[in-house]
Amino acid sequence: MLPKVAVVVLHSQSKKINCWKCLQETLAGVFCEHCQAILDIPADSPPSPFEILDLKETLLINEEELRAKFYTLSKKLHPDRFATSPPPAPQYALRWTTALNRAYKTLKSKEERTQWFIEKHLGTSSGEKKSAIPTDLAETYFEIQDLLSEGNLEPLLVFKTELESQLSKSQSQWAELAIRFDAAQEKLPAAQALRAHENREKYLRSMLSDLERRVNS
Amino acid sequence: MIVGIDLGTTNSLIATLERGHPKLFLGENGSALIPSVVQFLDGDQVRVGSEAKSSLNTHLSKTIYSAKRFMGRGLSDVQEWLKLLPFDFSASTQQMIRFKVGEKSYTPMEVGALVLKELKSLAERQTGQRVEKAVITVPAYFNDAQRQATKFAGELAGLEVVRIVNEPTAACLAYGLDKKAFGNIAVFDLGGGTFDISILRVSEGVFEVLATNGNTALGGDDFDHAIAENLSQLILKTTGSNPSQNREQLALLVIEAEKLKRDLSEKTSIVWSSNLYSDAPLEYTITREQLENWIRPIVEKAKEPCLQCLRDAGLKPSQITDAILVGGSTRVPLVRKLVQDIFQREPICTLNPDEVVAIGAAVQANILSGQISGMLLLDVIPLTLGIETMGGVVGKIIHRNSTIPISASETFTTYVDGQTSVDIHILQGERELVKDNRSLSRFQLKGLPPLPAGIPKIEVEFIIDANGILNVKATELRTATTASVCVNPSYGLTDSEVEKMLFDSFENAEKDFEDRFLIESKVEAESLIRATQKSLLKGKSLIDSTDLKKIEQALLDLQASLNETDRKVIQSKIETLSELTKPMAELLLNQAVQEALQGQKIGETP
Repeated sequence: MLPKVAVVVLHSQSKKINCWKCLQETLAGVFCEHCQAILDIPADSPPSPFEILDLKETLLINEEELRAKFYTLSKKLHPDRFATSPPPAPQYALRWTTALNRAYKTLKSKEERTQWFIEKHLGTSSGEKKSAIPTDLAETYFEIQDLLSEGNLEPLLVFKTELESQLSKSQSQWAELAIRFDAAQEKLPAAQALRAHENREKYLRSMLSDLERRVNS
Repeated sequence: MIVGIDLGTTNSLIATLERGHPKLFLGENGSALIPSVVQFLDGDQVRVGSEAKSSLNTHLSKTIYSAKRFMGRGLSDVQEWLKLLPFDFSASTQQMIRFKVGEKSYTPMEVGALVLKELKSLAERQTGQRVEKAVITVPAYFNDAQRQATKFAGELAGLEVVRIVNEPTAACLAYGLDKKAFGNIAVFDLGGGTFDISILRVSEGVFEVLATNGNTALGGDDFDHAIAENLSQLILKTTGSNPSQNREQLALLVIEAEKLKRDLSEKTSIVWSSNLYSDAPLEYTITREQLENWIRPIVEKAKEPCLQCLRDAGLKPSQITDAILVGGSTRVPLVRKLVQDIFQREPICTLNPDEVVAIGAAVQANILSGQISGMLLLDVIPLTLGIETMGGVVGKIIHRNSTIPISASETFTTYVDGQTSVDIHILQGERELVKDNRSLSRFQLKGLPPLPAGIPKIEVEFIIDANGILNVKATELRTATTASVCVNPSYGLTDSEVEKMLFDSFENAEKDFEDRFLIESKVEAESLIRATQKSLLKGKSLIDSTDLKKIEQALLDLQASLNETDRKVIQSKIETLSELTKPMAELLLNQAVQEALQGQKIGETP
């Protein structure tokens, strides 16, 4: 049973392919322009999360819109919709849904989405060494280490409050950076600023959780 | 016709939709609840359901019940239960349990199949149609082996199992049929043997599971056993003999405990009498309060999974629209109170909590057959999947509560120079270290070109399909060497392991972190030692002897620190050594660049 839906076109896929079902030439999207059969996902140029979810490529997103798109697409692409279809449609539906679920997971988490942009503009960080302590946190870090080794808990609670407020400040800074990133013509420096911010926040989080664990134990 | 079947620990049900309305098939006694009880009589005669249950007392040695508890599990997984049930067991291997009845023995799958066959023929008799396909439900926390065993039982009964659906999700679909579910729905499902909690977001016909959690060894059966244990203490005080010492007497007492539990869910106090355990009839007044004290520790076990599920879903209790009660055990007032306390609202059970799962299975059957097009279920994997990395640490690849189908990949590298194969060890669970998680499968990626450690790029891809079956593929990206495996385990995680691992992951988060850091520091130290030794071979001549001495000393110090259990000691030695070797490394790098420009190999330098 084919869903009666508008053809979803992937913006980057301007090339034409022949539909496996009606054999006519069609844009390489999700469904054939002519017979609406589900097409295979392009293996050589996999669509980006934003393309799959048909959203503008911005760091700040409307979560309601994202979810609405995800639900609409799930209804069209889920293998359950193709349970009674002859092959290869169920297989193609499975591939699209797998990619759709992955894309949704990436975009709905602020951290994963930010990471996606960082990797897009600065490459994967596989070769990157463990990031050094951000300079402004170094002093706090060593003071905490000293207090911990002395087993001096009282002042640690002060640091905990301090780190918590730093973290919430950092989280609101993200919003500013995101606005700047989305507006930037030159994405590279904006992406670098994002990466520095994410590294610092990661460090803050691990300092805080480290501190909490020690204080609790 | 595709039917929906709830194959339960105590009772099973079969349902379908008639013109969009749920219809449950009723058994001989007029009830839709078919006891999951099978009796093996003389002459290969088999009795299933209410008849088998009502003659339990007289045919105890020929009766098998609670078979679901043993589905897809090994002997070692169910030791606790073996003590409590009056069956004889045999096990040829650790992986397969058999119930012994007289001369013969039966697997839990065969017993399940007999129950399914009974349900199938019930529906066939009443509709006059053949029933060949079914959607069968399982607890959300069932692992692969348990799901596969359930599927196999279906096949043994002559059914094509078109989908295995999670029980709480099915229940939510049943509420969705009448558009009674909307918003953020918490489904609290406490059955005879298992507990699941799932939180779904329901909107525009999409049922998205946000998070799921549970305890696969928690259910009404446990209440019954706790009550029986306390009753037997009362009897011991009166008569001086303890019925729980005798397996048959205990089994009978458990049946009476179950009845007592039901009665005290309606009334606040009851006179309980029995003449089974002594010559003179015994009589006790039991209050609901008393019974609640007996079962409270068990009921409380459901709390933490609910709180964790809320955290995973990213919701506060106030953001839950409705809490739905599923499973017969939610009739116990103490259980309802717990649900009310956790989700801060009166739980709803407008649909019969015993029937709602089977109806939901029928709904999913109609979605798959194309008869319902306005509803769609998006389910998740309950446990994190990953692979073993250096030092016995787990590299998590797909996190729990990811919507399926899904795929994900991570890139890893080698640890030893010239390594030509890597072992891929697939794991399931939430803990940081390999030894604390469940091993699902192992395979090898062979034929790697011998390269220095850290150079190969090995991409490991996990692919999970709509049925939750895992495929793993490993590729060395530089040479495109590939190996893959379909994880279709003969037995996966046992329920008690799933539950224990989850519990442990919260209990041991602290220790895990320390262990993980320590291992990472050691691995880092070892590779630094190796790298330093290697560069010393070439770089010795480039530095003066005092610096060389310092480096050698730092190297020895670091080597000695490998036995430390404090990671900070190791870390400080690492820092010292890497600081000292920095100038040498720079000199070596310059040299290598110059040599490369001159077309010389490093080995050829004088």
